[in-house]
Amino acid sequence: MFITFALITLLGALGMLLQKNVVVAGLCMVAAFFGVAGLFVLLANPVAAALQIIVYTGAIMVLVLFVIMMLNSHEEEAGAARPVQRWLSLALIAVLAFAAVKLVLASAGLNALAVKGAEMPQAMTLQKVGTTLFADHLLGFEVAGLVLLAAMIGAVALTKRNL
Amino acid sequence: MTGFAQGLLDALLKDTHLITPQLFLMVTATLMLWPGDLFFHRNEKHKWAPITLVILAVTAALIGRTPDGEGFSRMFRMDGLTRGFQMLCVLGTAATVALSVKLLNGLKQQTVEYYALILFSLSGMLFLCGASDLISMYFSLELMAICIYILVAYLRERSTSVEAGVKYFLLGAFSSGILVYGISLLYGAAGGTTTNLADLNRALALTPTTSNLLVFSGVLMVLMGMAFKVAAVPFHMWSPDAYEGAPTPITMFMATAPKAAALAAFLRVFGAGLHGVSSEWVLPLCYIAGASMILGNVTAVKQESMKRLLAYSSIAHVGYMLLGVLSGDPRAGAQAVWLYMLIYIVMNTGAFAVVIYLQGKGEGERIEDFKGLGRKHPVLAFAMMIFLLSLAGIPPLAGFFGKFYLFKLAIEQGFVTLTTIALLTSAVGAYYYLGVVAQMYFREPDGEPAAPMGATSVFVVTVACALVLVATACGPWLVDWAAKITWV
Amino acid sequence: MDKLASLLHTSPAIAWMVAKLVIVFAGVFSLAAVWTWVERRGSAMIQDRIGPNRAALFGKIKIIGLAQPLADGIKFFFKEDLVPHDANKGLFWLAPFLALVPALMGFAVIPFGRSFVSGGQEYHLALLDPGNGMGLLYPLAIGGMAVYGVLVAAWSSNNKWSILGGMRSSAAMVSYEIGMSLAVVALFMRAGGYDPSEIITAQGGTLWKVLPNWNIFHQPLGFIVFFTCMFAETNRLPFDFAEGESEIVAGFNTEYGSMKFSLLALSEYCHLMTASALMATLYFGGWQVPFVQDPSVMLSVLSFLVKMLFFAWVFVWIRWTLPRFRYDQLMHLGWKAMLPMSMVNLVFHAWRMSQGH
Repeated sequence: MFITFALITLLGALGMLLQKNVVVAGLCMVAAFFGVAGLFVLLANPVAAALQIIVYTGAIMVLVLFVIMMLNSHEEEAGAARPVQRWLSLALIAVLAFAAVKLVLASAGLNALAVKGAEMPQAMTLQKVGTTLFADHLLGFEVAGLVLLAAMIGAVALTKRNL
Repeated sequence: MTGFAQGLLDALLKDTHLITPQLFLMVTATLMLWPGDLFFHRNEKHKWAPITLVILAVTAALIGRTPDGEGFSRMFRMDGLTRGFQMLCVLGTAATVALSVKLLNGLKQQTVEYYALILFSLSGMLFLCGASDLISMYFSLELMAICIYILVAYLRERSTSVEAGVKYFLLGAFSSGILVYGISLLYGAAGGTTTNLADLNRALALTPTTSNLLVFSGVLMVLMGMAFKVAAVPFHMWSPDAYEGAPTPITMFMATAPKAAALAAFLRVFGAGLHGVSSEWVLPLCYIAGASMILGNVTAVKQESMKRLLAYSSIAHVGYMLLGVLSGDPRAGAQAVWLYMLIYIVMNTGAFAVVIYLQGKGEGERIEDFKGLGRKHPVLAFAMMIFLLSLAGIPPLAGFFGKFYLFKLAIEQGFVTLTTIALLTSAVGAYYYLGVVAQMYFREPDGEPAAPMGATSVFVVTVACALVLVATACGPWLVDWAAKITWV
Repeated sequence: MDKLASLLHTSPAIAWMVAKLVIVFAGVFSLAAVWTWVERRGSAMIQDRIGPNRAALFGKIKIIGLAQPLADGIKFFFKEDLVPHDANKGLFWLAPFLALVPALMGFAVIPFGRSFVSGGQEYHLALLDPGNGMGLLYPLAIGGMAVYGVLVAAWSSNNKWSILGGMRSSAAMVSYEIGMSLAVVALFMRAGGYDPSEIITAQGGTLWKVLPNWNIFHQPLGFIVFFTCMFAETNRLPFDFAEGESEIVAGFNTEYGSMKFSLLALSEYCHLMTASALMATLYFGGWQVPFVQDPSVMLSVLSFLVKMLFFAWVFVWIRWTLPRFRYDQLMHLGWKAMLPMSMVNLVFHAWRMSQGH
């Protein structure tokens, strides 16, 4: 199960990067989000999975696709990246990937985490999410609300014709 | 269920006194937008500036009255460090607002949104100064930054302004991603139980040495994300463009208040917070500080735009201030950084006030526009010279005083190489600051004689100039003030 | 159940799962097919026409035209399958499935009858057992996915009308989802949980001894919002902006024909069924029978079916009586009426709860 979802996520992400067609790339991203949601379910956190789908695929990606369609960018971009840069970035990615794998495998904290993880069989519920948000992380939550308010004011200030 | 809600409400009210300044700011800013804006005609929007200044004064008073304490599940802390840096943020913001009026009037771009966004950004900074948890730190950083993205692109008819905003926004969003990833790595490395800095420090200090790579990458990513916000090399790429394209008061804003808040976060996270794993971050931070000093100063030499020059100089100054974060004695470091930041805000405000004045007449963007200013407008040129010399750190002026404390501390803590770099690059810095001075005094002016300045600008320039001149004389008092920058 | 299990050589639990799958999917599918007929007969009735009444099994048995969906199915099956020349072939094929799958999946958590115990084992009449942790977030999530079918169909057709339809429906979806979710949150608060079984249990009994204790009587405002948003979600008139045949030909499915079109049409009716089931569950007590304490299993299923089909009929009814909104009116309604209303509803009920109700 893990392999399946991980593969969906990875292939979706890769497809999103490699696809030249924007809409197809967006759909690949949706697939990747689905894979992540599946991983959340495997981590005994169905709430996060549901929220992932509601927020990311249900709202954000729909808006993104809406914008893409509105701009109607049918013409596919000519991939004019200079080959040197492409090779450099590939090498960088390879190094980073190698480092990440080494990081995960080499850390003894991983075992400690695995032990901890086995101790957390309880599924996350909406109640627990609510308690965490509104009791432990209240300040962060409220400030996040302010961030959205500020972004909204900014969107109006930047786009409205006659202020 | 009701019991739970009641308990929640009680806990909320118990801690609100810690954030009264922020609450006041948010409420007034929202009221300004609605219904406040209905009372002013389209041509009267400039009246929002004095109102904003009054709000800022009240905020400062509230900050002074807020008692020490920690609350909101240990997410926010009010102590000497918080209060001191909050005051700096208010100071920088007030200067920005005072200098905005004339320029925005000239551009016919007065809106209430401008002032409300500045206030929103300020409330983010006030949160950031006291954030004692990585989560609250991240969100306040975002609140601060998102308002500035918008303010940078505020002159939306100008392609440079919009371009600067987009550049800053994209890179900023990317760096936030890195920051959050780093936070999540630290969260995992500490056993997935806490993001509170003190707890995190304790848990990380206990982690087995083999998992250090995880801690290291986490710390490094947090460092990267925060270095972006203060525009330290090599995460500075956005700043010259954003500085150049933004409306000049906002350029000044970016160089002062958010830097103070981000440095407070730096001190809180690295100096006071994660000292248990200091072996992980000292070396990278050394490189960042050194590179900022060198690159900031050396690149500034070649600049032709005054705003770009000030952008690179601010990168260099951030490099100096990171010395204070590095010092093994975090409290003395915080005090030195605070002092430096205070002086930097004052002299930067003065310099920008002159640039904004010149820009009101359609020049001031390029260094060439300063030529012959000494002939055209001797008083202004003198003030500008004082600010530039102070920025260069020439003795009896305030800038020297700040540098002296910082470098002394760094030497005492054994960062000899880094301090040497700082001294050498200061000399490079003096070269380009003096270049501008030379433009003002040794070149013949062209064009018409100068127009009178606005009252606010005169006031700001005079006050800043006086402060820069007398700072060294009031040294003992300043040090006494700085000594209040402590925490438990 | 045990007999079925031994027949299939599996445990009763798995056999029950298989049985439920068959019942639910076959049920929703055939109901959806029948509803195409109901729609046409209903429209005929409302407009004083006759409607399809000719299709007959074996050329003899007419039963008021009930064989029409079957005949339609056969017709669509044998029609030529056209793919427009400039269409994005892969996505054009994919779209009908993207539309159909979420429409069917949404039903999975909705209990269509009360749970019962047989042979020491508890059987739940819902595909996903209660306590799965997803609860009603699941249909909300899946409902949000439904727009992708429309979007992909619209975009891949490479047709101006289609793209217009797709854009409209995506904008409508995003606008109405917020109001809908907030209305549902007020229900979660009342029930103290977000599992459908908890929501239904909270609706048992009576209110002031004369009314069933249904959520509609507790939160009428919330119901109005949810009801309206469901029309937008299912792209039904008066919100059928994705199709809008008087304006943009047939909207997102302009280029579709044969079996692919019939899948798109079927998915609309499946969606309608799921939406009706959701409304019955959330606001009308689900399988609860008014004034009956513990209804028998069959009675509870019947009660649920009656409620669900009633709402399915309301969908048809409204389609043929109300005119279409204009696009900007839809946006105004969504952001300036539905969203504030659902917020008022939420805050009001939070306040009432804090007062101890």
